[in-house]
Amino acid sequence: MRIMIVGAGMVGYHLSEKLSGEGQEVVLIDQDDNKLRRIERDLNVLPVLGSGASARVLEEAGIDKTDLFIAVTDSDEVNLISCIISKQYNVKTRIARVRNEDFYAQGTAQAERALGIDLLISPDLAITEEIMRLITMSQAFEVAEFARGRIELLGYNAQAGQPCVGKSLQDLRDLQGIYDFVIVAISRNNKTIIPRGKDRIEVGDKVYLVMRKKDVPPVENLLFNAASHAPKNAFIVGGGTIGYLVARQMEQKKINVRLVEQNSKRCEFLAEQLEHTVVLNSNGLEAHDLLDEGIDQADLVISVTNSDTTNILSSLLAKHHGAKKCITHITNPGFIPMLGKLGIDVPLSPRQVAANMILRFVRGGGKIVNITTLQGSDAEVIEMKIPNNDKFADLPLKYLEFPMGAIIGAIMRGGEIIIPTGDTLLQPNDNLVVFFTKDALQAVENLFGE
Amino acid sequence: MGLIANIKKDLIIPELHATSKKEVLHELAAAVVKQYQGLDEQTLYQILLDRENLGSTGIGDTVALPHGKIKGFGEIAICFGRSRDGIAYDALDGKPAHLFFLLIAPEDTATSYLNCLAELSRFLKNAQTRSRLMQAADPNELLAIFAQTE
Repeated sequence: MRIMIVGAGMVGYHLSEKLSGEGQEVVLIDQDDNKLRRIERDLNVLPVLGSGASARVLEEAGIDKTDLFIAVTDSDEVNLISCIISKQYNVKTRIARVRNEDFYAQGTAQAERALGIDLLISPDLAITEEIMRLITMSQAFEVAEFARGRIELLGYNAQAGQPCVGKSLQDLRDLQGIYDFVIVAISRNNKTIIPRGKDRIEVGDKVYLVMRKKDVPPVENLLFNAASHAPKNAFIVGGGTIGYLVARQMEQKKINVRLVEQNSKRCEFLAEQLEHTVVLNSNGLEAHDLLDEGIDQADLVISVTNSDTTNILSSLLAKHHGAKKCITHITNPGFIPMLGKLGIDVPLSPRQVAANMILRFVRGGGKIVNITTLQGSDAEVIEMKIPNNDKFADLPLKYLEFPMGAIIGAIMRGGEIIIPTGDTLLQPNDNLVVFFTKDALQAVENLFGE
Repeated sequence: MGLIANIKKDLIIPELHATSKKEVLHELAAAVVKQYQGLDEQTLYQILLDRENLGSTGIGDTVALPHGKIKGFGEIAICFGRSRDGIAYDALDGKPAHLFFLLIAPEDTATSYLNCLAELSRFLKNAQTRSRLMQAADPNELLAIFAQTE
């Protein structure tokens, strides 16, 4: 497939990396020669210098042979215009990133249709959705849903004293039947492994589990001695679009929200728009102000200012004073690997969230139904259909030569969800939730190829 | 582990009277309370019921493993009950349960609790074990089956 990406910023880079890594033919258009040269050095993409809003540039780049067009420059207008121009050619799918609320707030679907764009992505909306998904699982630092929300993939930090610590995977497998879950991966010292029977869970591990949504409370209680519940008291640092949208949605969930914003003009707007939220005019790093408002009692602190430094520091400050959990907006991907060590629970990168949304959409067509990249780990999860081929009929999983670095977390068969063991029999047309480290994707696709 | 091998004879109920899920939880809880000082039957029952409400412990193949952690309790206790007629238990396979193991543990011994559940689960995965438990004539025969476990 030939894919054209306009904009070599962070999302553009990330998408180029993912898609070219999967063997797709990627053309990348940007006006910045330096950026293009740097990317050309790192990735196998064809760089084209120029504006994506120019028909001439698009033609030179081979728009007439392009299947998928993705516009992710910093400018909403360029993204929209280049998508509209691409309509004259034979492009099958068009995706544009837009920041300005006016383009999508009311009747997004209509805007998409009127402009002939298949998917409009707003990074702020995408992040807001991600945050709202995360808050319901207060103990997990990572949440991804499959089978329309009936299957959850959850990531937990293993801490001293938790029941699962020190247990081998074999010990935990014996609980199958009473507690259905699969531990699909353990991330230790920034390295992700697919654990085998003898591997043990250690303090500090990030443990990824797949289970039915309805089984989350008992499994969480059994393994981590914890119970997830929506937060009662939340602090939001940063009253920009994300902070505002999250506050509004939290109000509907009856959560007490305190929203900290530095700009007094913006505070006036927020106080007017938000009914129950307490708006504080402060900068998120004034320990005294925050303590006065009870940040030490907060179940959740969400730092979403436009400064990574402020977000990191305000999260650390909140944790230091006793806040239970923090979600931290991080733009610079280079910071993410170190944040776990600092005690930041959930780093959220807008680049990754937006790129994920696009990847999910792009890959929706084929055997792969859904794909999710995990934050701060090089692993991915896909939902895919196994082909209607007799070699998979009644094959126990333990005899399936499954690629190294990949594991099946769940099976959807008709309306039923199966959390598999080695004895589970596969059926043609089963949908699988497969977890894999990035090197294994090709092998998984080969195994289930027609 | 020896949890099953060391089950108390007084905590083996070869013929349960209960005919419903709630009744069987009551009957097992009552038996345990009789043997262990300082346990409150209603509290124990409520803990078991709360756990069932999160998801049935009827794991299929005629087996149910109601379990819970209780504050202030000093040890791990199990109780076995058998119903020849079977009791509807919202089991995974939709079939009635005949063999019941109740497990209760102190709130803070999380690790061994996990081991005990795994031990019970391993024990009951064996179809032969299950059918021997169904066929045993009296508490002594049941006790003999339990004693043979590792």
